Amino acid sequence: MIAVFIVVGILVVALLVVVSIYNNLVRYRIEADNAWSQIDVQLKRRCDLIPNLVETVKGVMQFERETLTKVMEARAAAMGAKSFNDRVKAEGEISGFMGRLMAVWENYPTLKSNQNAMQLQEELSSTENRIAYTRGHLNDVTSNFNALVEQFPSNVVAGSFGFKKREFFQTPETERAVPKVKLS
Amino acid sequence: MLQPLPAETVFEAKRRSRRNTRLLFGLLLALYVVFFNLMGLVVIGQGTSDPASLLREWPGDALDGSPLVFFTVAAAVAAGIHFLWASSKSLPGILKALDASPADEKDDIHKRLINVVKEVEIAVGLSGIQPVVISTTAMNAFSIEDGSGKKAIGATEGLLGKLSRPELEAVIAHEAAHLAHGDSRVMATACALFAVFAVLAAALRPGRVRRSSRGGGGVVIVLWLLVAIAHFLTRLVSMAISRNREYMADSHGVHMCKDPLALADALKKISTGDRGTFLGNEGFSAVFILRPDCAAIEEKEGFAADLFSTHPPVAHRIEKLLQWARQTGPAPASSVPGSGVYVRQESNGSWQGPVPAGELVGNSAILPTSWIADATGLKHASQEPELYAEFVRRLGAKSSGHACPRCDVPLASGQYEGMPVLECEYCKGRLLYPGGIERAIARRLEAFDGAAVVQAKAWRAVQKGRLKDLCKMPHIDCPLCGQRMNKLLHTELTRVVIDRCSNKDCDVTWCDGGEIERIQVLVEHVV
Repeated sequence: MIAVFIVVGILVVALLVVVSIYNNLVRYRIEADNAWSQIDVQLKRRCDLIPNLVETVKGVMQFERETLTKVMEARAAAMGAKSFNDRVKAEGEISGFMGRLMAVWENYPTLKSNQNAMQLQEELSSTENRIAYTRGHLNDVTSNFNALVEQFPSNVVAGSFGFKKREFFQTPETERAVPKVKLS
Repeated sequence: MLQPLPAETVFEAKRRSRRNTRLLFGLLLALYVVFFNLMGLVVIGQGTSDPASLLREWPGDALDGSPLVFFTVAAAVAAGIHFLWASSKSLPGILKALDASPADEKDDIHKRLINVVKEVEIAVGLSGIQPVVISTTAMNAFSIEDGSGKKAIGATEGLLGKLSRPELEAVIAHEAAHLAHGDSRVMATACALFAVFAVLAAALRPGRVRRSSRGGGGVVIVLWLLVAIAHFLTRLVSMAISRNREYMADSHGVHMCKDPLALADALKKISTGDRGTFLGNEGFSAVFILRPDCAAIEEKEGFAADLFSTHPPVAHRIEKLLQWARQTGPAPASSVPGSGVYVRQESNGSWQGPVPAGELVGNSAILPTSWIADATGLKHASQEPELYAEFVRRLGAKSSGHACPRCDVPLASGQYEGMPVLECEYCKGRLLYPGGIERAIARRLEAFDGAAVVQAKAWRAVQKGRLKDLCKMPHIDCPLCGQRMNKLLHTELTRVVIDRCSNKDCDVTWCDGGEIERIQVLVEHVV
């Protein structure tokens, strides 16, 4: 009789543990999905801002003509991307060019004295930050989720309910490089 | 050194915050149980001739209505009510007490705060953080979460005006980390809980007690004990929650904004900038503490609160941030020796370069306080011997051979009010020789316009803090003899705190930018 109780007790405890691990996994998955959709929103926002940016600075940033052309091309590529990987690549390129434009912005006094340009710069900085922050948050959540998927005992639960390791949002190399620009 | 966090997300933090809140309740409950039982002992014991027997019978028989059970249950009920009341304090009330108003969408500078708060919301995965602003020129930021989970991050106008965008991002990220960790909420509850005891403490001031203590001496002693313990606990809890959590918030904040230098610079600006007292510091809350809403003041998880508590942590925090920056700094500069020097733009935190080492000298865009990075590491431009020499050259014949205690740049000799002084071109601080303050006050060569007078008066009007707090600012070393400089209150009239060399033979006075002018204006126009 006692043996039955013990067995039932162990089963109940095991079930509770499984349920809690499962719920944890689901929570992380939802959070990661949220982060992905956030990134999507911010990337769209950036694509909307780029034409405005080019319009505002093309007359002023004579030394950045090439960057401006490239950023428009990358934008077109990102908007027309067929596959997920193509899109991530194009967006990475945009981030690189934007980083460069933001870095040289200070060298143009005309832009610093123009209120519209200042507001645009604020919007762009904010959008870039949002993208970077969401990516950071997404990667944090993903790494915790992946740890759960790999570690014992949660890996057993993850395996039997079909939770797979998720991909990180990688930063492309171009984005990490320090822009080589001349100090004014 | 500060480490990037092991990816602690909001979930783990929430769990810990709940644990801390429970712990807090346990603490309060224990306090109440002890207090109620002691009170009971004293009150009942007043009628009995044999207190020892009362003590023996106190636990009694649980079924037979023992006083211990009765008072413990009463204590639990009281603690529960107290706790519910304290954790239900609402955000609007707290913000009102702090004199904070919502940020204005149409104002470009406020818009920046709104944007930055939106950004960090994303970074920590929280939503609905209200950006608020306090209209004061002092520099501070705070985060608050009330019992119902409403959150706000606030900054003062002074902070918004003086910090660059990356610095503001770093500060707000630090505050958001407090929110994400649940520090603000636990802190808010803790302060609301123990503020009541502070009210009691004020009511029990020695003078009042002696008059009313006829026949109630025992009660008063127990009350005293309670207040003392509660005071101690408040200290303990706020230290445990706030101090230790600062490094975590720094770490998490930098993990978000990826810019340890911006936070280091911001901390430095706040700690050496406007030394005015803040709306929320102890001086103000000492006036306030009699009211129940005083708790709001102490809920601040603010920079100033930390800065003024003890000074080593600021220097400590900055040092840790610099260590972090050294490890993560612009990678290309440290990886390729001789590739040139990278210069950090303060306005947007971006690194520019590489500039061949030779081209740095003579580049007017580089200030002594600019950060530069080369193969040897990260430093201020003035720490590079060649550049320091360049800054000395720029001063020409005015160079004094002594360095500014704040900026590490050469001081220039100049004249002020007809007397020789040493001046820093960057922070506008002045070194006065013995007797210089008196001379400056006596003379009227410098004319101050109406704006300067209004500004100085406005500054003086908010100086309500205790001198003790002002004097906790980090000490500086004398630029001439290298000895420590003491903090010195000029007079109660001006309330400007200046630094005087502790070496009596040297006896020079350092006035930070604008301080001597402030003294003069106040002396000339307030009397």
